[in-house]
Amino acid sequence: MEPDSLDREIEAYRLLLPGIKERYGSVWALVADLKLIKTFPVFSEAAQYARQHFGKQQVLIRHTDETKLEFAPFVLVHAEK
Amino acid sequence: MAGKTWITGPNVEVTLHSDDVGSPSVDLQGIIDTGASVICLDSRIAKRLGLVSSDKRWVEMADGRVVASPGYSARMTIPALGFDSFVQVCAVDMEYPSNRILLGRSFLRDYIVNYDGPKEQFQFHETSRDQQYYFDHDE
Repeated sequence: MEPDSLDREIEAYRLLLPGIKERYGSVWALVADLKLIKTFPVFSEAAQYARQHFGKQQVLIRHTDETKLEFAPFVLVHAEK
Repeated sequence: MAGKTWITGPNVEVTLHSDDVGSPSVDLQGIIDTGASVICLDSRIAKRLGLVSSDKRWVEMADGRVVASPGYSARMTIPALGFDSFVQVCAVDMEYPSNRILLGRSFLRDYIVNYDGPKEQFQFHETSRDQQYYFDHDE
């Protein structure tokens, strides 16, 4: 992936993360302009807040319990016709 | 009072909506995949909808490849489940265009799901369990 403004938000988030976890615990964090904007209990609230307040601006929405690696194991087998 | 229950097959009709007012939505084939930790789709679809990325993740595929994946916020509707909400979807550069979307555990988290093997049916049960049930708190 090409580095972009989202990379800067992610770097800011990494620095902010210990403080966010200490203060808010297990939440979705919205980071924009290198600052923590707000935390949310569910992703949909964070996404709607971001749309209303930031429009198309690149922001970061990440859960404080995120895992480093996600899994997408999908295999579909078709029988021969 | 008992919560709602929905019964579906392993595939469900899914619609993803564009961020742009007036832009068309995209109808997809949703595949319930308990082995997937996230909701995952072909990156072409995210681009077609003009979605704005809100995260970047690393995703391990079924064949062991680990690929970089932007995460997008998108409004998703699933009529068979009465679902209409914003979700985070991981977009993967697939070799061939695909209209499938994997509904992984980040989606299933809001339900208690039972699978009836002989009938190939899922039973989705609404749950009132709050976030504390699903995530460990430091506090």
